[in-house]
Amino acid sequence: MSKKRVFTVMKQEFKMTAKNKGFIIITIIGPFLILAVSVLPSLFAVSSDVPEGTTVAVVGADRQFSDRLSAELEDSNIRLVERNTGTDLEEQVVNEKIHGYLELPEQPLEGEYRYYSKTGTDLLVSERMSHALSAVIVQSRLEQAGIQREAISGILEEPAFTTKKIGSGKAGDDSESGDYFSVFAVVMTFVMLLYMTILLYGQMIGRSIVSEKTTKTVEILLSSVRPIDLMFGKIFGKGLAGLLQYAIWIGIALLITLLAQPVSGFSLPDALSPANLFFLVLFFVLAFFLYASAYSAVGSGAVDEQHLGHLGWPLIIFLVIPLITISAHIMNPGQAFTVFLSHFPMTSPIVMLIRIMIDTPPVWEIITSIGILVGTIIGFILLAAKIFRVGILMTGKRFRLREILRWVR
Amino acid sequence: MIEAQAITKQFGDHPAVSDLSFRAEPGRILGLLGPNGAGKTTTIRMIMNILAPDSGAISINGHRLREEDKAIIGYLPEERGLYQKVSVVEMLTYLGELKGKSRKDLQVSIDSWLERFDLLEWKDKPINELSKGMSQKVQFIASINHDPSVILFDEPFAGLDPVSADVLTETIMELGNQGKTILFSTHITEHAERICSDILLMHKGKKIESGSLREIKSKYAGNTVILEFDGNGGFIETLPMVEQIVSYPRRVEVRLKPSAGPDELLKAVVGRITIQRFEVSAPSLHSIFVERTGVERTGLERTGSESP
Repeated sequence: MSKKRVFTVMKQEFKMTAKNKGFIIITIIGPFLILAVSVLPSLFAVSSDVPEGTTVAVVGADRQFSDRLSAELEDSNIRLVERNTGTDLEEQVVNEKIHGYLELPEQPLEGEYRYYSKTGTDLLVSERMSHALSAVIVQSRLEQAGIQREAISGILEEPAFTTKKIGSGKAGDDSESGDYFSVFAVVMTFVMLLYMTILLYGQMIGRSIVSEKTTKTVEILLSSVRPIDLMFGKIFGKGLAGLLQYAIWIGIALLITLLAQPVSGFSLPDALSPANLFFLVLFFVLAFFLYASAYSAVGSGAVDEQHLGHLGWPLIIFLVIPLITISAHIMNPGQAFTVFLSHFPMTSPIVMLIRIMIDTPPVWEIITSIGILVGTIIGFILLAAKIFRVGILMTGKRFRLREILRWVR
Repeated sequence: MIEAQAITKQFGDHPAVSDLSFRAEPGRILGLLGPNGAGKTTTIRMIMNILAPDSGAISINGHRLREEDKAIIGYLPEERGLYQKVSVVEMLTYLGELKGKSRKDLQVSIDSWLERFDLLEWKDKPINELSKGMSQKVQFIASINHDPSVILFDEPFAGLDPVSADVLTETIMELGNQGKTILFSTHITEHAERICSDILLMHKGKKIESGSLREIKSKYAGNTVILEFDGNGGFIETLPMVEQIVSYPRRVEVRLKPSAGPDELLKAVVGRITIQRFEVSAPSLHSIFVERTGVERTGLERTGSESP
């Protein structure tokens, strides 16, 4: 391999990518898009509470029961009104005079409580009602069983419970509390980010290699460089441009977070400890180059962009596997399936990261996993070069994956 | 120097090149002449190590093509293109740097070549604003910009207007005079006759004639007559003294039987057509090709009325 040639290709590819108008525009508007995506849902979330002035009628309740239910619903926007009969109520719901009505069973505390509303998907109100009802009924039952009313709230109070992860690094490091949701959120964000990146850049690299054939520059380039030099140069040149874009985005995001922190009170999730952050960046970069090299192999065998899409779908499947099994890995990081996927190169960046964040995998497993990844990346690049070498003159004809794999033998 | 010894290449059942040997020497221009499908591009690709010959050997300056030789080779492939969105100067600088030249040296040579090909004002324009002919010229510059000592041109005249073709011809001959080894392929006999010092005539993957242009011409010289006329010359091929004929609507190239002389032919045609030109000459490469292959519709073209 000629380092000088690789560097020349890298420089050129970086320049062509970074000077591209689309790339510059995305780099600039990217942070705003991310901001929009992350802020807008929370705006919706605020408005998706039970709207104010929601009225629910209660039919056939005694005073004590409805008082208690009212008390339970005090901090919500639901207001209770008492009714003696159930006639007309349906009409009132349909006319939106009241939101819904609750029908009590003939045997209090035992039969079925029914809540009626206009839509069957009135989840917000019905969930709130059911919550309040349970509290009232359990309290009533406990009273019937002869427990002092004052003692009840003490009995019902949930014990304090948190999960702590045994630190893999320094002893007694308490900051790495791996509670499910924090890890889930971080991993999910990571996976989505990776998924987007790979679709964006992986295919960009694939396309750039296909374009050497469609623009017929391939023979000219190969009269100066070896396919392997060209592959390394293209993958790392385009890859660096991509990473630069991410660095800009993350820089802007951090800046905004820091500036907005006094106002928003937002802080990074606990799961993002420095150690976790290190592995996150490491596996992100590895995953990035893994799929970049895989797409370059696919691009080498494709005749045009459409063909690239056809040949590239198996890669997407590998990307989706950890995405759909993510819960299983978080719940049970020690299982054989998870351990296997954390070593299998196409899935290991995501799955090993999950394991590191929740479990404490042996160091040698982490090293093995990284080693396999690096080896696979190099393997893919060699493969890409070989396919490219054979594929250059095969313009026009669409080859199937099976035929392309035959070339490399 | 490029040397090929008994190279053979099959594509499936189809022999693209069979048992081909030749030698291209420094300071000389070797023309690979033959119709489409003769095996010219395959031969050049084998020299460039893009295809491997099934048997036989190719050497450049005495050894098999090595990676470091690529710096001294200039190659204009038949399938050629450029990045669409980069400027002319950026593209040429990139390709030059890949050949190991420094940016500084390249700026000087790029400017002088662009000027020579009348492209200097396009220097900073993106390639996709260039016409097809202009980008052909840029590709040609890219193949010689790094001052290579061995140059391979595959159909270099394709897509060029006559004026640009003349500049190209001039440049190629100049490079030959500088002592470079030049091999180029064409299916246009006129180009070969104007530029080449040596000729390799190919047909269906085989060599049918080779040697210096002068040798070949004198070998076939003798009673060949070039006749240009107005009127219907269809009868000429039926005349008894005609051994072989290459016909065009208003021009024929006649090879006479050894027993016959040009006078007999002249007598036979006077009065039946209006003669514009009557020349006893050496045969053209075209008629040599026809004579050697016996193929009348050859796919070879006399003049560059282009598109290969």
